Amino acid sequence: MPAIRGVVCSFCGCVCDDLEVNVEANRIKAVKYACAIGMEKISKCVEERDPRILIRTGGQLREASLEEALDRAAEILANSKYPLLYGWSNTSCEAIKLGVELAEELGGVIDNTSCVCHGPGIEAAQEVGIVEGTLGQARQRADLIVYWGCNPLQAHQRHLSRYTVMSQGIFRAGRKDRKLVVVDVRKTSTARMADLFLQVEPGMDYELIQALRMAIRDEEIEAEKVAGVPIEQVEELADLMVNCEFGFMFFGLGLTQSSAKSDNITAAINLIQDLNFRTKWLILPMRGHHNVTGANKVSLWETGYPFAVDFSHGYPRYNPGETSAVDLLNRREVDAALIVASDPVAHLPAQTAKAFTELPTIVIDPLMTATALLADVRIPSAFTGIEAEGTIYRMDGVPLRAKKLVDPPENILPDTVLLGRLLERVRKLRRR
Amino acid sequence: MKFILVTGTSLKQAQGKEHGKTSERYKEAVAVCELAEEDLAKLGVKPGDPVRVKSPYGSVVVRAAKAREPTPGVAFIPSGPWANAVTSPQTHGAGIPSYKSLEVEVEPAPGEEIPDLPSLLKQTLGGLKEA
Ligand code: SF4
Repeated sequence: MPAIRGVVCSFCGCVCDDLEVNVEANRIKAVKYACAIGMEKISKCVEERDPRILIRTGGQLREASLEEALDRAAEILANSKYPLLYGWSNTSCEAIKLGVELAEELGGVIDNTSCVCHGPGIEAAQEVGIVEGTLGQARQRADLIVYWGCNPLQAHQRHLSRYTVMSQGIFRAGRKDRKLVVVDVRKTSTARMADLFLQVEPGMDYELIQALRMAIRDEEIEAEKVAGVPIEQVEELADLMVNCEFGFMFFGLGLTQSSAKSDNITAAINLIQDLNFRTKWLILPMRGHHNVTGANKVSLWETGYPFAVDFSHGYPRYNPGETSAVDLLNRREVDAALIVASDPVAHLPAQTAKAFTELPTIVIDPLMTATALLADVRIPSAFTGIEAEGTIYRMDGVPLRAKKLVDPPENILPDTVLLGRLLERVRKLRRR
Repeated sequence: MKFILVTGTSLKQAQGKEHGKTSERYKEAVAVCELAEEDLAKLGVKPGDPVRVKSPYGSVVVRAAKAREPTPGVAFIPSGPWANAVTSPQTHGAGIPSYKSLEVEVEPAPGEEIPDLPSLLKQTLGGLKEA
């Protein structure tokens, strides 16, 4: 069989679309050009999946048929007054759209994982705007790259080689034409490659950004250190930033998850806005899961809001802190949960995740997850981008079409089919 | 000893995740607390020894490791249920909890076992769902 070209990787927000995959007898034999993480996922995940459909009876999970599981799931949702539909970052836009429909039908809340990763960045952009660009611009033009609070060598492995310092652009020929700056609390592997590394004290990014803004305006900073960084280094970075031709800042969870949260990003965007009076600068979040950007886009175009959308009034409302998943779970306000393509029990603080021990919970996910261990219904689904096609948004908002490479086993269906059937059943039950 | 806890993505965590959360590989990759060499020495633990990490929100036993990216005073645990046994659920009205920069206490836990995922959930969530 000839290799399938132009395969879209379904792991991280880089959504590399240049992979080659060899398939023989419905099995993936070889994967080319992916990074270690993408390679591992595409070549192994299908083989190692736990294909059991499970329902909880008498406290124990037991195997069930798909029909039984869907019936039970529909019953849980139709009987709930205020369900939470959460996850969505690892599935296709087509599936997310069905999720929004289901939330509206149920008068519940639909929230995606951005509420615990880059949500603060979205809130900041809503407040002060944002000078975004595409990864193509970084590749072709950027001569100064700043990674702030992110470690792409571990989390977005091909980001540097495909889009930034090591990439071959039209106007920049790789590493020698570009400078790399890293700001982080740890001296990460990416930091070790940098031309300049600023080690910021944990939780002090906001102060450092404001100091940089002062330095850029040539204001004097009357301190020896800001946020643990010597002033000479702050000034050195300010000089680099003002004197480059085309700068690009990428920020990660180091900025969104530390104490100042959205204020950190507001400050970072303000810094980029200031810099644009002097030279050209763009800024982008390093989105993690492959389609978390798509989850925001679909939610935005369907409801007007990018995440944490509440339908309990019959129309969409958005108020992170009130209608966001962690807060709803902390306050024990929701009475059922549908989790699609994510694992909140593993990734939310345990004190929050405790809520799932009290909530009727349905999990639709290709993998066996920590949340599935607590679920009342667990339905395994096909891997998007491997066993099911669909639209995926890259971290810079460029939509790409993920391919289907192999057929899923019998009884394992794509999220779109499962959610369509669930929606149908819920509607029937509620109209009775 | 007091540390600042940082959680985040690591390559092994990302790979392990794709094997399923109940896999041994995932546990190996994320039930780990990376500390700077000098901090390991101060605590009197060797890489591989069990350590207990405590915060106002919970406590968990994980394996100590020498940080490849050492920062004295910082304890790094890859994102996952072991790290989240101690992270803060508070969002301060912002929708997002503070996963980074929380003060924790790390101490040697000789002879203690590192829980697998089901036992960990039992410990941290106060029992799996019954009936
Ligand atoms: S960088 Fe991300 S999208 Fe690209 S191959 Fe690796 S995991 Fe896949």
